[in-house]
Amino acid sequence: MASWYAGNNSTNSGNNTGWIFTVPPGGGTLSLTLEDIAITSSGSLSHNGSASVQLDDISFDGSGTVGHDGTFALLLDDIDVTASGSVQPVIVAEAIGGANPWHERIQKARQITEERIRKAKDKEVADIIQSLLDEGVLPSEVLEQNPDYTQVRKLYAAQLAQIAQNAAIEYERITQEEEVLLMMLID
Amino acid sequence: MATYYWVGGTGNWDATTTHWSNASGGAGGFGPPTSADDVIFDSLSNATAYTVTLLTAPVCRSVTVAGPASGNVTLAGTAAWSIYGSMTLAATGITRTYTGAVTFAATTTGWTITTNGQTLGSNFTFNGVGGGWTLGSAYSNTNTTLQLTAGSFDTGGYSLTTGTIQTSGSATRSLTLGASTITLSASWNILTTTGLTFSVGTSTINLNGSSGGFTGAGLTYNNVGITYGAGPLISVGGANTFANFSITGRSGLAIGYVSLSSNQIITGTFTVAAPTSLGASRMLIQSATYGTARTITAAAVSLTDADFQDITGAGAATWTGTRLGNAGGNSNITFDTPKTVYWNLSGTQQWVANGWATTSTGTPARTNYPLAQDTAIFTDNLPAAGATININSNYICLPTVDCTARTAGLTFSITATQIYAFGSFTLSSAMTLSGGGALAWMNRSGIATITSAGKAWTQTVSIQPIGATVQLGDAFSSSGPMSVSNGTFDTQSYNVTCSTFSTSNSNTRTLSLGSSTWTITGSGTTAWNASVSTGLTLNPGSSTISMTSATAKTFAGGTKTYWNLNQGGAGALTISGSNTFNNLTNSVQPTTVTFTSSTTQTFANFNLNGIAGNLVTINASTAGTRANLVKTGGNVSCDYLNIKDLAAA
Repeated sequence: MASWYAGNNSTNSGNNTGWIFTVPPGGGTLSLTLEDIAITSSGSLSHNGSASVQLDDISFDGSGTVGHDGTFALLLDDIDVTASGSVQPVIVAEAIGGANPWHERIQKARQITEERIRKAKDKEVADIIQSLLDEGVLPSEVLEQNPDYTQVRKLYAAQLAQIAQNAAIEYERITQEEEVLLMMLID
Repeated sequence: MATYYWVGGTGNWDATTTHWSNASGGAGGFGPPTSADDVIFDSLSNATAYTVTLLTAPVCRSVTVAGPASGNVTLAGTAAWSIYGSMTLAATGITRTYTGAVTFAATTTGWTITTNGQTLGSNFTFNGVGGGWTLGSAYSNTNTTLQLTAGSFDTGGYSLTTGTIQTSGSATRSLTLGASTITLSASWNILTTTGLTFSVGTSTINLNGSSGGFTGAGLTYNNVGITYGAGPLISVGGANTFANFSITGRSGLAIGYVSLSSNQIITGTFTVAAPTSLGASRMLIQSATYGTARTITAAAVSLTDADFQDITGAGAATWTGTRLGNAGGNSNITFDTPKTVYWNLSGTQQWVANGWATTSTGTPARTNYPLAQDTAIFTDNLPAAGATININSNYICLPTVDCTARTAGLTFSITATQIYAFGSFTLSSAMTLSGGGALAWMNRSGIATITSAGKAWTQTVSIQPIGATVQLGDAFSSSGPMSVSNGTFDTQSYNVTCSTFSTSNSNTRTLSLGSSTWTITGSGTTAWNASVSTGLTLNPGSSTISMTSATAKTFAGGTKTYWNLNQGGAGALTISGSNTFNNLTNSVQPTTVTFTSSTTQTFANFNLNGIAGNLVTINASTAGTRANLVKTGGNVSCDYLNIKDLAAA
């Protein structure tokens, strides 16, 4: 059976049983009230596209022990967006939270490195294929029929695997060097 | 025993002797007549027209009435008149305004009723143990009742026209019809057969009134016909046997019914004759008890433009016909193959108008009228925007109605209160519903889907698809009431709004609420009425029922399990039955929630709360007698309540 707490503000009008006219032990009213959230624009407000108000990561952070019997409800009522006057197709604002400029620079450096490796790998593969053609090992029609080197990769998988391994080693080396460089810049 | 003659012209037939003489044209001062005395009105009663007003319950043995020397004698008054012998009226010279009840009370036989074409206006009762009366001419006494209580009444083979022929009680009595044609504007009522000897002869009984009954008491009849042209509404009682049973003379676009409370046997032919307006002028042959089949055993049938509901065809007849509609629950009847028709008629029209074509641009023909098993489509072809289709004839059997393609404005005005629906009903956003009529979904198989396209209903909607399902295709909102009495109603988790909701009966039915929010806007003791929940399977889902009326209303839960119930209006909410809820909430304060005393409500959650200055009162319906609130475990935490007569556990 449950304990029925009527609260401190309830009235016992008689002939009741089982009611406790107090709040639950350690209890009280647990409420989160967000009132009158308003976005106000003075002057003209221009917007192109849909308008939205986004409330993210609303959380209740209780320190200590919080007991609650029942359900938590987050009620967002009567959120209105009202535009009066003219609305112009102009982007007004963009909010970005938590950006780290050094992190962006590292990412950029990695992109540059990866591009260099890719070009190096392509050049090595092209050089090997050209040498195979020069030696008469690889029929030229294979290349004509398989310009994406698919057939070549099948025929000379071992050689190309070695090239890829070399490229991976090179990639790791360059990355480490770049990161060391960037960390030095950050410090 | 004496014979008295009326003399002295105009006067009252009462306890005085002024107008009674012992000789034709003689001096007054005799009488007044007793039940043993014969009375005569003759040419010497007065030289010119005169009026006799019957007062103070006159009596006589036999009465003979003829006109004066010139003009008419007018029989007037309203006093009851007891006649212990015969009645003989001359063919001319009589004006009848008298409307009092006439009782023939003789206790011997051999008496006659000869009216010679005079139109009577009184109820005639034959009530004399051992008495016997025979018509001596045709009898016309329209819109009145001929009651046989005791004694023998014989039509003498003459035609007899009246409102109702009725016999009841247990006294010894006989009713002999001979070869008469009996025409009744209301009913044939054999209410009891104890003590009754019935001789049907070769008679024909025709019911020619707009409504009435044939309570046959299981007797055997010769020919019985229903002849009213504009949609007769006839109830047939008793397991009767007929030589022939016919429905003829239909005209106009009305729809009638013959409702059977028992099985019937027709040794000859069961005829539903073609109407003058083919197609939409229809007769619904149905069981008087929805869902309980009646068997008609017939040697032969001739059926045109008829609908059947809960009828089993039997006998040697091949049960087929022309334009036969299947309103469900039938067997051994071959119905027309389902067809698709299109409305193609301009302007505001009735549903039963000649507006149905086989293509969207085809020429309408009455014979295309959509039957219950058909599909009716409205396109943008015709009518033009702004027109109204009036669904205003009772007993229209709506087929599947598809208005998906309709983008031009069109109104369905539903004002008739007995509209039956048998398929899906799909509106478009261009349409409007109006009228305070009522629709009952009666499909007996499959799923009928109601798609409102955001349009508000104004009608009463009842769901009664025995063995079948009606479901929503989108949100349903009505200012009228809704009920579920049979079959399955599945909201498909769409929201429902209606004034009141009732499913209080003992039929097999299922209510699947899904995650719908039901908004009950009405008030009163039947706002939500599941008080009789026998046969009800209620699937509460995660639904919420919100009772929003600002005046008092009742949630009669019928001791079932619900999900959420919300007190959503200022009017006090009474909860009856011992129900189970996931949660009880309120969205208004102040307000009152009253639990029927001595009931038990069980909750998983209980969240009634007032606010400062606006308490929520919770109490029991009878002061001093508690209601019980039960929650299994945990705490209930409320505030701002005013609590009385409630036992919480």
